[in-house]
Amino acid sequence: MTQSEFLQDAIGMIDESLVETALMTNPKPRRRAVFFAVAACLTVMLLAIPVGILFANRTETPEVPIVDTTSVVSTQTALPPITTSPLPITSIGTTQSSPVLIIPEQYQALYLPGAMNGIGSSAGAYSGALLQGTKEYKKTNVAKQIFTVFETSGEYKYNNTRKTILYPYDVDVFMSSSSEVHQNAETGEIVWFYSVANPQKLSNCPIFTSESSESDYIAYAKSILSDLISESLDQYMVTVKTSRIHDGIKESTYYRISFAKTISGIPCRGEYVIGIFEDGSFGMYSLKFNKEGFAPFEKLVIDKEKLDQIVMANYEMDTASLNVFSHESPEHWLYVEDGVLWAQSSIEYRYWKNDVEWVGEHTYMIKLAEVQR
Amino acid sequence: MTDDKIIALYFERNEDAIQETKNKYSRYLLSVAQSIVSNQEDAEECENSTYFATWNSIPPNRPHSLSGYLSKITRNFALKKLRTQKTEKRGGGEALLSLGELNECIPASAAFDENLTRENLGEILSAFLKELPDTEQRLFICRYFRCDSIATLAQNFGMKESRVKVMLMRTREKLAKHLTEKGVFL
Repeated sequence: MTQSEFLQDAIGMIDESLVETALMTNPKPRRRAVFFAVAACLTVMLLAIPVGILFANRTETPEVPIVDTTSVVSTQTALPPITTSPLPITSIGTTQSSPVLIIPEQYQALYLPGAMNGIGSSAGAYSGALLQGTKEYKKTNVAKQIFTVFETSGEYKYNNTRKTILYPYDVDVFMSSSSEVHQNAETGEIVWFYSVANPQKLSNCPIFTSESSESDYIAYAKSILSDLISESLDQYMVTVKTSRIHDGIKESTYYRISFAKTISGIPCRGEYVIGIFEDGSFGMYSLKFNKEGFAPFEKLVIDKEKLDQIVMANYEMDTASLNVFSHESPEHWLYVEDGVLWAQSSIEYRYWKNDVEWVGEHTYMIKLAEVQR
Repeated sequence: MTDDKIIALYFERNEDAIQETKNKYSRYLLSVAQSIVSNQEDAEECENSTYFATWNSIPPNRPHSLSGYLSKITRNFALKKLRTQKTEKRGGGEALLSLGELNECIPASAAFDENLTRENLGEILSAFLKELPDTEQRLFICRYFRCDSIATLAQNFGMKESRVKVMLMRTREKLAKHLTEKGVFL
Protein backbone atom coordinates (compact mmCIF):
# COMPACT_ATOMS: atom_id res chain seq x y z
CA MET A 1 0.00 0.00 0.00
CA THR A 2 1.31 3.46 -0.92
CA GLN A 3 1.49 6.38 1.52
CA SER A 4 -1.32 8.20 -0.24
CA GLU A 5 -3.49 5.07 -0.18
CA PHE A 6 -2.91 4.92 3.57
CA LEU A 7 -4.04 8.54 3.85
CA GLN A 8 -7.01 7.79 1.61
CA ASP A 9 -7.99 4.90 3.90
CA ALA A 10 -7.62 7.11 6.97
CA ILE A 11 -10.03 9.61 5.42
CA GLY A 12 -12.50 6.73 5.51
CA MET A 13 -12.09 6.69 9.31
CA ILE A 14 -13.11 10.28 9.97
CA ASP A 15 -16.08 11.09 12.21
CA GLU A 16 -19.42 9.84 10.88
CA SER A 17 -21.02 13.14 11.81
CA LEU A 18 -18.59 15.02 9.53
CA VAL A 19 -19.41 12.70 6.66
CA GLU A 20 -23.12 13.09 7.26
CA THR A 21 -22.89 16.87 7.34
CA ALA A 22 -20.87 17.04 4.16
CA LEU A 23 -22.69 14.47 2.09
CA MET A 24 -26.28 14.63 3.28
CA THR A 25 -26.80 18.38 3.28
CA ASN A 26 -27.34 20.59 0.28
CA PRO A 27 -24.31 22.80 -0.25
CA LYS A 28 -25.94 24.99 -2.90
CA PRO A 29 -25.17 28.62 -2.33
CA ARG A 30 -27.55 31.29 -1.17
CA ARG A 31 -27.54 33.17 -4.45
CA ARG A 32 -29.04 30.14 -6.18
CA ALA A 33 -31.62 29.74 -3.43
CA VAL A 34 -32.53 33.40 -3.78
CA PHE A 35 -32.91 32.94 -7.53
CA PHE A 36 -35.26 30.00 -7.06
CA ALA A 37 -37.23 31.82 -4.38
CA VAL A 38 -37.74 34.81 -6.70
CA ALA A 39 -38.63 32.51 -9.58
CA ALA A 40 -41.14 30.65 -7.41
CA CYS A 41 -42.78 33.92 -6.33
CA LEU A 42 -43.08 35.08 -9.92
CA THR A 43 -44.57 31.75 -10.98
CA VAL A 44 -47.16 31.89 -8.21
CA MET A 45 -48.09 35.44 -9.15
CA LEU A 46 -48.43 34.55 -12.82
CA LEU A 47 -50.57 31.52 -12.02
CA ALA A 48 -52.74 33.48 -9.64
CA ILE A 49 -53.99 35.79 -12.41
CA PRO A 50 -55.78 33.13 -14.52
CA VAL A 51 -57.00 31.35 -11.39
CA GLY A 52 -58.50 34.62 -10.17
CA ILE A 53 -60.23 35.10 -13.52
CA LEU A 54 -61.53 31.55 -13.33
CA PHE A 55 -63.00 32.03 -9.88
CA ALA A 56 -64.49 35.36 -10.81
CA ASN A 57 -66.40 33.76 -13.70
CA ARG A 58 -67.31 30.41 -12.14
CA THR A 59 -70.87 29.11 -12.07
CA GLU A 60 -72.39 27.48 -9.00
CA THR A 61 -71.36 23.83 -8.77
CA PRO A 62 -72.05 21.42 -5.94
CA GLU A 63 -69.16 21.16 -3.52
CA VAL A 64 -67.24 17.89 -3.52
CA PRO A 65 -66.59 16.47 -0.05
CA ILE A 66 -62.91 16.07 0.78
CA VAL A 67 -62.01 12.60 1.96
CA ASP A 68 -58.94 12.11 4.10
CA THR A 69 -57.45 8.98 2.58
CA THR A 70 -54.38 9.09 4.79
CA SER A 71 -56.26 8.14 7.95
CA VAL A 72 -55.00 4.93 9.50
CA VAL A 73 -58.16 4.32 11.48
CA SER A 74 -59.61 1.15 10.08
CA THR A 75 -63.26 0.83 9.26
CA GLN A 76 -65.17 -1.84 7.46
CA THR A 77 -64.79 -0.04 4.16
CA ALA A 78 -61.07 0.43 4.67
CA LEU A 79 -60.41 -3.27 5.15
CA PRO A 80 -58.42 -5.18 2.59
CA PRO A 81 -60.16 -7.87 0.52
CA ILE A 82 -61.69 -10.43 2.85
CA THR A 83 -61.36 -14.08 2.08
CA THR A 84 -63.84 -16.16 3.98
CA SER A 85 -62.56 -19.40 5.35
CA PRO A 86 -63.70 -22.22 3.08
CA LEU A 87 -63.92 -24.57 6.04
CA PRO A 88 -67.11 -24.92 8.10
CA ILE A 89 -65.41 -24.31 11.43
CA THR A 90 -67.79 -24.19 14.34
CA SER A 91 -65.38 -23.47 17.16
CA ILE A 92 -61.69 -23.07 17.55
CA GLY A 93 -61.45 -22.99 21.27
CA THR A 94 -63.38 -23.62 24.40
CA THR A 95 -63.21 -21.47 27.43
CA GLN A 96 -63.07 -22.09 31.13
CA SER A 97 -63.53 -18.47 31.97
CA SER A 98 -67.00 -16.94 31.70
CA PRO A 99 -66.18 -13.41 30.50
CA VAL A 100 -64.68 -14.75 27.30
CA LEU A 101 -66.99 -15.30 24.41
CA ILE A 102 -65.90 -17.70 21.72
CA ILE A 103 -67.13 -16.47 18.40
CA PRO A 104 -68.92 -19.37 16.75
CA GLU A 105 -69.23 -20.30 13.11
CA GLN A 106 -68.14 -16.95 11.82
CA TYR A 107 -64.44 -17.38 11.57
CA GLN A 108 -62.96 -15.38 8.82
CA ALA A 109 -59.41 -15.38 7.71
CA LEU A 110 -58.67 -11.81 6.80
CA TYR A 111 -55.87 -11.51 4.34
CA LEU A 112 -53.37 -8.82 5.19
CA PRO A 113 -51.67 -7.25 2.19
CA GLY A 114 -47.91 -7.05 2.24
CA ALA A 115 -46.90 -10.35 0.67
CA MET A 116 -43.24 -10.28 -0.14
CA ASN A 117 -42.17 -9.68 -3.68
CA GLY A 118 -38.89 -11.43 -4.02
CA ILE A 119 -36.40 -11.85 -1.22
CA GLY A 120 -37.03 -9.54 1.68
CA SER A 121 -39.82 -9.08 4.15
CA SER A 122 -42.71 -6.73 4.40
CA ALA A 123 -42.65 -4.30 7.30
CA GLY A 124 -46.13 -2.94 6.79
CA ALA A 125 -48.18 -6.07 7.25
CA TYR A 126 -50.49 -4.63 9.89
CA SER A 127 -51.03 -1.08 8.73
CA GLY A 128 -54.48 -0.09 7.66
CA ALA A 129 -55.88 -3.49 8.52
CA LEU A 130 -57.46 -4.77 11.68
CA LEU A 131 -54.68 -3.94 14.04
CA GLN A 132 -54.80 -0.23 14.18
CA GLY A 133 -51.28 0.41 15.29
CA THR A 134 -50.58 3.44 17.37
CA LYS A 135 -52.46 6.68 17.78
CA GLU A 136 -50.54 9.51 19.36
CA TYR A 137 -51.87 12.39 21.38
CA LYS A 138 -49.48 15.26 21.78
CA LYS A 139 -49.84 17.04 25.06
CA THR A 140 -48.33 20.28 26.15
CA ASN A 141 -47.27 19.34 29.66
CA VAL A 142 -43.64 18.58 28.81
CA ALA A 143 -42.01 17.01 31.83
CA LYS A 144 -38.89 15.13 32.73
CA GLN A 145 -38.72 12.00 34.81
CA ILE A 146 -36.00 9.74 36.19
CA PHE A 147 -36.36 6.02 35.59
CA THR A 148 -34.14 3.26 36.91
CA VAL A 149 -34.11 0.02 35.01
CA PHE A 150 -31.32 -2.56 35.12
CA GLU A 151 -29.36 -0.64 37.71
CA THR A 152 -29.18 2.41 35.49
CA SER A 153 -30.92 5.70 36.10
CA GLY A 154 -31.68 7.99 33.25
CA GLU A 155 -33.54 11.21 32.66
CA TYR A 156 -36.39 10.89 30.20
CA LYS A 157 -38.41 13.63 28.60
CA TYR A 158 -42.16 13.34 28.15
CA ASN A 159 -42.89 12.80 24.46
CA ASN A 160 -46.56 11.95 23.96
CA THR A 161 -49.47 9.81 25.07
CA ARG A 162 -50.30 6.81 22.92
CA LYS A 163 -53.12 4.37 22.50
CA THR A 164 -51.56 1.16 21.26
CA ILE A 165 -52.80 -2.25 20.30
CA LEU A 166 -50.82 -3.78 23.12
CA TYR A 167 -52.54 -2.03 25.99
CA PRO A 168 -56.17 -1.42 26.83
CA TYR A 169 -55.35 2.01 28.28
CA ASP A 170 -53.37 5.13 27.36
CA VAL A 171 -49.63 5.06 27.83
CA ASP A 172 -47.39 8.05 28.46
CA VAL A 173 -44.17 7.85 26.47
CA PHE A 174 -40.91 9.22 27.83
CA MET A 175 -37.81 9.31 25.67
CA SER A 176 -34.08 9.73 26.08
CA SER A 177 -31.51 9.63 23.29
CA SER A 178 -31.56 5.86 22.92
CA SER A 179 -34.28 4.60 25.23
CA GLU A 180 -38.02 4.77 25.66
CA VAL A 181 -40.14 4.16 28.73
CA HIS A 182 -43.90 3.69 28.44
CA GLN A 183 -46.06 4.16 31.52
CA ASN A 184 -49.66 3.37 32.20
CA ALA A 185 -51.07 6.91 32.06
CA GLU A 186 -53.34 6.29 35.04
CA THR A 187 -51.30 4.15 37.42
CA GLY A 188 -47.78 5.22 36.39
CA GLU A 189 -46.70 1.57 36.16
CA ILE A 190 -43.97 0.89 33.61
CA VAL A 191 -45.46 -1.21 30.83
CA TRP A 192 -42.70 -1.09 28.25
CA PHE A 193 -39.04 -0.35 28.58
CA TYR A 194 -36.94 -0.16 25.47
CA SER A 195 -33.26 0.64 25.03
CA VAL A 196 -30.37 0.18 22.64
CA ALA A 197 -27.89 1.78 25.01
CA ASN A 198 -24.19 1.08 25.12
CA PRO A 199 -23.23 -2.39 26.39
CA GLN A 200 -23.97 -2.64 30.09
CA LYS A 201 -22.94 -5.30 32.56
CA LEU A 202 -24.96 -5.91 35.70
CA SER A 203 -23.29 -6.38 39.06
CA ASN A 204 -24.48 -9.98 39.30
CA CYS A 205 -23.31 -10.94 35.81
CA PRO A 206 -21.64 -14.36 35.84
CA ILE A 207 -18.29 -14.84 34.16
CA PHE A 208 -18.85 -16.12 30.68
CA THR A 209 -16.03 -17.92 28.91
CA SER A 210 -15.54 -19.58 25.57
CA GLU A 211 -16.86 -22.73 27.26
CA SER A 212 -20.18 -21.06 28.09
CA SER A 213 -23.12 -22.50 26.23
CA GLU A 214 -26.30 -20.99 24.89
CA SER A 215 -28.22 -22.39 27.86
CA ASP A 216 -25.94 -20.42 30.23
CA TYR A 217 -26.99 -17.19 28.53
CA ILE A 218 -30.67 -18.22 28.60
CA ALA A 219 -30.44 -19.04 32.32
CA TYR A 220 -28.86 -15.65 33.03
CA ALA A 221 -31.43 -13.75 30.96
CA LYS A 222 -34.25 -15.67 32.65
CA SER A 223 -32.96 -15.04 36.17
CA ILE A 224 -32.60 -11.29 35.80
CA LEU A 225 -35.92 -10.91 34.00
CA SER A 226 -37.76 -13.00 36.59
CA ASP A 227 -36.40 -10.70 39.27
CA LEU A 228 -37.41 -7.65 37.32
CA ILE A 229 -41.02 -8.69 36.67
CA SER A 230 -41.43 -10.74 39.88
CA GLU A 231 -42.77 -13.68 37.95
CA SER A 232 -41.42 -17.04 36.86
CA LEU A 233 -40.69 -17.36 33.17
CA ASP A 234 -40.65 -21.14 33.20
CA GLN A 235 -43.88 -21.38 31.22
CA TYR A 236 -42.79 -18.81 28.66
CA MET A 237 -41.62 -19.78 25.20
CA VAL A 238 -37.91 -19.08 24.77
CA THR A 239 -36.49 -18.21 21.37
CA VAL A 240 -32.79 -17.66 20.81
CA LYS A 241 -31.27 -16.17 17.69
CA THR A 242 -27.49 -16.17 17.59
CA SER A 243 -25.39 -14.24 15.15
CA ARG A 244 -21.74 -13.65 14.56
CA ILE A 245 -20.85 -9.99 14.87
CA HIS A 246 -17.69 -8.02 14.24
CA ASP A 247 -16.53 -4.86 16.01
CA GLY A 248 -13.74 -4.18 13.52
CA ILE A 249 -11.17 -6.09 15.57
CA LYS A 250 -12.61 -9.45 16.53
CA GLU A 251 -15.61 -11.68 15.95
CA SER A 252 -17.98 -12.68 18.72
CA THR A 253 -21.45 -14.09 19.24
CA TYR A 254 -24.54 -12.04 19.99
CA TYR A 255 -27.57 -13.70 21.55
CA ARG A 256 -31.06 -12.33 21.04
CA ILE A 257 -33.13 -14.05 23.67
CA SER A 258 -36.88 -13.59 23.85
CA PHE A 259 -39.51 -14.88 26.26
CA ALA A 260 -43.11 -14.94 25.11
CA LYS A 261 -46.16 -15.81 27.15
CA THR A 262 -48.18 -18.57 25.48
CA ILE A 263 -51.83 -19.51 25.34
CA SER A 264 -52.32 -23.11 24.25
CA GLY A 265 -48.72 -23.14 23.12
CA ILE A 266 -49.13 -20.15 20.79
CA PRO A 267 -46.90 -17.17 21.67
CA CYS A 268 -48.42 -13.80 22.53
CA ARG A 269 -47.06 -10.63 20.98
CA GLY A 270 -45.40 -8.32 23.48
CA GLU A 271 -42.52 -10.44 24.65
CA TYR A 272 -39.42 -9.72 26.68
CA VAL A 273 -36.36 -9.43 24.47
CA ILE A 274 -32.74 -9.00 25.48
CA GLY A 275 -29.63 -8.83 23.33
CA ILE A 276 -26.61 -10.25 25.18
CA PHE A 277 -23.00 -9.99 24.08
CA GLU A 278 -20.55 -12.84 24.61
CA ASP A 279 -19.19 -11.30 27.83
CA GLY A 280 -22.67 -11.08 29.37
CA SER A 281 -23.27 -7.36 28.86
CA PHE A 282 -26.55 -6.19 27.37
CA GLY A 283 -26.91 -4.06 24.26
CA MET A 284 -30.64 -4.00 23.75
CA TYR A 285 -33.73 -4.59 25.84
CA SER A 286 -37.40 -4.53 24.96
CA LEU A 287 -39.60 -5.43 27.88
CA LYS A 288 -43.31 -5.21 27.27
CA PHE A 289 -45.33 -5.88 30.37
CA ASN A 290 -48.63 -6.77 28.81
CA LYS A 291 -50.41 -8.79 31.45
CA GLU A 292 -53.82 -7.09 31.36
CA GLY A 293 -54.52 -7.58 27.67
CA PHE A 294 -54.12 -11.33 27.57
CA ALA A 295 -55.34 -12.01 31.11
CA PRO A 296 -58.99 -12.81 30.20
CA PHE A 297 -57.80 -15.36 27.66
CA GLU A 298 -55.14 -17.12 29.70
CA LYS A 299 -57.08 -20.34 30.12
CA LEU A 300 -58.41 -20.47 26.61
CA VAL A 301 -57.81 -23.69 24.73
CA ILE A 302 -57.07 -23.06 21.10
CA ASP A 303 -57.24 -25.88 18.61
CA LYS A 304 -54.00 -25.30 16.76
CA GLU A 305 -54.74 -27.99 14.21
CA LYS A 306 -57.91 -26.24 13.13
CA LEU A 307 -56.07 -22.96 13.01
CA ASP A 308 -53.50 -24.55 10.71
CA GLN A 309 -56.29 -25.93 8.54
CA ILE A 310 -57.91 -22.51 8.12
CA VAL A 311 -54.63 -20.90 7.19
CA MET A 312 -53.63 -23.67 4.80
CA ALA A 313 -57.02 -23.71 3.08
CA ASN A 314 -56.90 -19.95 2.52
CA TYR A 315 -53.28 -20.00 1.51
CA GLU A 316 -53.87 -22.77 -1.05
CA MET A 317 -56.78 -20.89 -2.51
CA ASP A 318 -54.88 -17.61 -2.67
CA THR A 319 -51.74 -19.08 -4.24
CA ALA A 320 -53.48 -21.50 -6.64
CA SER A 321 -52.36 -19.50 -9.65
CA LEU A 322 -48.71 -19.42 -8.57
CA ASN A 323 -46.12 -22.05 -9.36
CA VAL A 324 -45.39 -22.81 -5.69
CA PHE A 325 -42.84 -25.55 -5.07
CA SER A 326 -42.43 -25.38 -1.27
CA HIS A 327 -43.87 -23.73 1.83
CA GLU A 328 -43.16 -23.51 5.54
CA SER A 329 -45.58 -24.51 8.28
CA PRO A 330 -47.91 -21.70 9.37
CA GLU A 331 -46.52 -19.54 12.16
CA HIS A 332 -49.01 -18.15 14.66
CA TRP A 333 -48.88 -15.23 17.09
CA LEU A 334 -51.63 -13.94 19.32
CA TYR A 335 -52.70 -10.31 19.51
CA VAL A 336 -55.20 -8.54 21.70
CA GLU A 337 -56.96 -5.41 20.61
CA ASP A 338 -59.91 -3.85 22.42
CA GLY A 339 -60.75 -7.07 24.22
CA VAL A 340 -60.56 -9.21 21.09
CA LEU A 341 -58.07 -12.03 20.73
CA TRP A 342 -56.66 -12.46 17.24
CA ALA A 343 -54.33 -15.04 15.77
CA GLN A 344 -51.93 -13.58 13.27
CA SER A 345 -50.87 -16.46 11.07
CA SER A 346 -48.20 -16.28 8.40
CA ILE A 347 -47.03 -18.76 5.89
CA GLU A 348 -43.90 -18.39 3.79
CA TYR A 349 -43.59 -20.08 0.42
CA ARG A 350 -41.31 -20.29 -2.58
CA TYR A 351 -42.39 -20.24 -6.18
CA TRP A 352 -41.11 -19.95 -9.73
CA LYS A 353 -41.91 -16.97 -11.89
CA ASN A 354 -40.21 -16.43 -15.24
CA ASP A 355 -37.58 -19.02 -14.26
CA VAL A 356 -36.65 -16.99 -11.17
CA GLU A 357 -37.15 -18.27 -7.62
CA TRP A 358 -39.34 -15.96 -5.55
CA VAL A 359 -40.26 -15.91 -1.88
CA GLY A 360 -43.75 -14.96 -0.84
CA GLU A 361 -45.58 -14.62 2.44
CA HIS A 362 -49.28 -14.56 3.18
CA THR A 363 -50.55 -13.33 6.51
CA TYR A 364 -54.06 -13.80 7.87
CA MET A 365 -55.85 -12.44 10.91
CA ILE A 366 -58.25 -14.85 12.55
CA LYS A 367 -60.60 -13.65 15.25
CA LEU A 368 -60.57 -16.20 18.05
CA ALA A 369 -62.48 -14.81 20.99
CA GLU A 370 -63.58 -11.63 22.68
CA VAL A 371 -64.40 -10.42 26.13
CA GLN A 372 -68.12 -10.28 26.74
CA ARG A 373 -69.11 -6.75 27.64
CA MET B 1 -38.26 5.17 9.45
CA THR B 2 -35.86 7.08 11.68
CA ASP B 3 -32.21 6.05 11.95
CA ASP B 4 -32.69 5.23 15.64
CA LYS B 5 -35.46 2.77 14.78
CA ILE B 6 -33.36 1.17 12.04
CA ILE B 7 -30.42 0.75 14.42
CA ALA B 8 -32.80 -0.76 16.97
CA LEU B 9 -33.87 -3.33 14.36
CA TYR B 10 -30.22 -4.33 13.89
CA PHE B 11 -29.88 -4.79 17.65
CA GLU B 12 -33.01 -6.90 17.68
CA ARG B 13 -31.50 -8.97 14.84
CA ASN B 14 -34.60 -8.24 12.83
CA GLU B 15 -33.83 -8.68 9.13
CA ASP B 16 -36.22 -5.85 8.32
CA ALA B 17 -33.25 -3.68 9.32
CA ILE B 18 -31.58 -4.44 6.00
CA GLN B 19 -34.70 -3.70 3.98
CA GLU B 20 -35.30 -0.45 5.86
CA THR B 21 -31.68 0.57 5.35
CA LYS B 22 -32.01 -0.22 1.68
CA ASN B 23 -35.27 1.71 1.38
CA LYS B 24 -33.73 4.78 2.94
CA TYR B 25 -30.14 4.77 1.76
CA SER B 26 -29.88 2.67 -1.42
CA ARG B 27 -29.58 5.61 -3.82
CA TYR B 28 -27.25 7.48 -1.52
CA LEU B 29 -24.88 4.52 -1.10
CA LEU B 30 -24.97 3.80 -4.79
CA SER B 31 -23.90 7.38 -5.46
CA VAL B 32 -21.01 7.04 -2.99
CA ALA B 33 -19.83 3.86 -4.74
CA GLN B 34 -20.38 5.26 -8.24
CA SER B 35 -18.11 8.20 -7.50
CA ILE B 36 -15.26 5.78 -6.90
CA VAL B 37 -15.73 2.69 -9.06
CA SER B 38 -16.18 2.90 -12.78
CA ASN B 39 -19.20 0.77 -13.54
CA GLN B 40 -22.73 0.25 -12.29
CA GLU B 41 -22.30 -3.45 -11.55
CA ASP B 42 -19.33 -2.84 -9.25
CA ALA B 43 -21.17 -0.01 -7.52
CA GLU B 44 -24.17 -2.27 -6.87
CA GLU B 45 -21.86 -4.95 -5.51
CA CYS B 46 -20.35 -2.41 -3.09
CA GLU B 47 -23.84 -1.35 -2.01
CA ASN B 48 -24.92 -4.93 -1.33
CA SER B 49 -21.69 -5.71 0.52
CA THR B 50 -22.42 -2.68 2.70
CA TYR B 51 -25.70 -4.19 3.93
CA PHE B 52 -24.00 -7.45 4.80
CA ALA B 53 -21.12 -5.72 6.63
CA THR B 54 -23.57 -3.49 8.50
CA TRP B 55 -25.61 -6.51 9.60
CA ASN B 56 -22.42 -8.09 10.94
CA SER B 57 -21.13 -5.00 12.71
CA ILE B 58 -24.27 -3.49 14.37
CA PRO B 59 -24.19 -4.61 17.13
CA PRO B 60 -21.63 -4.25 18.71
CA ASN B 61 -21.17 -0.88 17.00
CA ARG B 62 -23.84 1.74 17.56
CA PRO B 63 -23.24 4.55 15.08
CA HIS B 64 -24.13 8.11 15.98
CA SER B 65 -24.82 8.82 12.33
CA LEU B 66 -26.14 5.89 10.31
CA SER B 67 -25.64 7.61 6.96
CA GLY B 68 -22.03 8.42 7.84
CA TYR B 69 -21.41 4.88 9.06
CA LEU B 70 -22.89 3.31 5.93
CA SER B 71 -21.05 5.60 3.55
CA LYS B 72 -17.74 4.79 5.24
CA ILE B 73 -18.34 1.09 4.68
CA THR B 74 -19.41 1.61 1.06
CA ARG B 75 -16.38 3.78 0.41
CA ASN B 76 -14.05 1.11 1.81
CA PHE B 77 -15.55 -1.54 -0.44
CA ALA B 78 -15.37 0.79 -3.42
CA LEU B 79 -11.72 1.65 -2.74
CA LYS B 80 -10.83 -2.04 -2.48
CA LYS B 81 -12.57 -2.63 -5.79
CA LEU B 82 -10.82 0.36 -7.33
CA ARG B 83 -7.39 -0.86 -6.26
CA THR B 84 -8.09 -4.24 -7.83
CA GLN B 85 -9.14 -2.45 -11.00
CA LYS B 86 -6.00 -0.35 -10.89
CA THR B 87 -3.89 -3.50 -10.69
CA GLU B 88 -5.84 -4.84 -13.62
CA LYS B 89 -5.29 -1.53 -15.44
CA ARG B 90 -8.93 -0.61 -15.85
CA GLY B 91 -11.07 2.27 -14.67
CA GLY B 92 -10.23 4.60 -11.85
CA GLY B 93 -11.16 8.08 -12.95
CA GLU B 94 -11.75 10.69 -10.27
CA ALA B 95 -10.78 8.46 -7.35
CA LEU B 96 -7.28 8.04 -8.76
CA LEU B 97 -7.01 11.75 -9.53
CA SER B 98 -8.00 12.62 -5.95
CA LEU B 99 -5.55 10.02 -4.70
CA GLY B 100 -2.80 11.76 -6.66
CA GLU B 101 -3.75 15.08 -5.05
CA LEU B 102 -3.52 13.55 -1.59
CA ASN B 103 0.12 12.81 -2.32
CA GLU B 104 0.74 16.54 -1.93
CA CYS B 105 -0.12 16.27 1.76
CA ILE B 106 2.85 13.99 2.31
CA PRO B 107 6.23 15.74 2.28
CA ALA B 108 8.75 14.41 -0.25
CA SER B 109 10.76 11.41 1.00
CA ALA B 110 8.62 11.29 4.19
CA ALA B 111 6.63 8.27 5.31
CA PHE B 112 3.94 7.75 7.91
CA ASP B 113 5.09 6.46 11.28
CA GLU B 114 4.80 2.66 11.23
CA ASN B 115 3.01 2.66 14.58
CA LEU B 116 0.33 4.97 13.28
CA THR B 117 -2.94 3.18 12.54
CA ARG B 118 -5.57 4.31 10.09
CA GLU B 119 -7.91 4.86 13.05
CA ASN B 120 -5.35 7.16 14.76
CA LEU B 121 -4.82 9.11 11.58
CA GLY B 122 -8.59 9.26 11.08
CA GLU B 123 -8.93 10.94 14.48
CA ILE B 124 -6.22 13.47 13.62
CA LEU B 125 -7.97 14.21 10.32
CA SER B 126 -11.34 14.61 12.06
CA ALA B 127 -9.86 17.14 14.47
CA PHE B 128 -8.27 19.01 11.57
CA LEU B 129 -11.49 19.07 9.54
CA LYS B 130 -13.56 20.30 12.49
CA GLU B 131 -11.36 23.40 12.65
CA LEU B 132 -11.93 24.26 9.00
CA PRO B 133 -14.55 26.73 7.80
CA ASP B 134 -17.78 25.00 6.74
CA THR B 135 -17.31 25.21 2.96
CA GLU B 136 -13.68 24.07 3.01
CA GLN B 137 -14.63 21.15 5.24
CA ARG B 138 -17.43 20.01 2.96
CA LEU B 139 -15.37 20.48 -0.18
CA PHE B 140 -12.56 18.38 1.26
CA ILE B 141 -14.89 15.54 2.29
CA CYS B 142 -16.81 15.54 -0.98
CA ARG B 143 -13.54 15.46 -2.96
CA TYR B 144 -11.46 13.02 -0.91
CA PHE B 145 -14.12 10.91 0.83
CA ARG B 146 -16.67 10.58 -1.97
CA CYS B 147 -14.22 11.40 -4.79
CA ASP B 148 -16.55 13.92 -6.48
CA SER B 149 -15.12 15.46 -9.65
CA ILE B 150 -14.06 19.10 -9.71
CA ALA B 151 -16.89 19.83 -12.15
CA THR B 152 -19.46 18.25 -9.83
CA LEU B 153 -18.14 20.20 -6.86
CA ALA B 154 -18.22 23.45 -8.83
CA GLN B 155 -21.84 22.81 -9.76
CA ASN B 156 -22.96 21.72 -6.30
CA PHE B 157 -21.20 24.53 -4.46
CA GLY B 158 -22.02 27.19 -7.07
CA MET B 159 -18.37 28.08 -7.68
CA LYS B 160 -16.07 28.25 -10.65
CA GLU B 161 -13.89 25.18 -11.11
CA SER B 162 -10.76 27.30 -10.67
CA ARG B 163 -12.02 28.49 -7.29
CA VAL B 164 -12.72 24.91 -6.19
CA LYS B 165 -9.21 23.86 -7.20
CA VAL B 166 -7.63 26.74 -5.31
CA MET B 167 -9.63 26.06 -2.16
CA LEU B 168 -8.76 22.38 -2.23
CA MET B 169 -5.09 23.14 -2.82
CA ARG B 170 -5.00 25.49 0.19
CA THR B 171 -6.70 22.89 2.38
CA ARG B 172 -4.16 20.27 1.28
CA GLU B 173 -1.33 22.65 2.18
CA LYS B 174 -2.89 23.27 5.59
CA LEU B 175 -3.28 19.53 6.10
CA ALA B 176 0.36 18.84 5.16
CA LYS B 177 1.44 21.42 7.73
CA HIS B 178 -0.95 20.03 10.35
CA LEU B 179 0.25 16.44 9.85
CA THR B 180 3.88 17.51 10.10
CA GLU B 181 3.16 19.41 13.33
CA LYS B 182 1.39 16.35 14.74
CA GLY B 183 4.54 14.34 14.10
CA VAL B 184 2.90 11.62 12.08
CA PHE B 185 5.81 11.31 9.65
CA LEU B 186 9.07 9.48 10.29
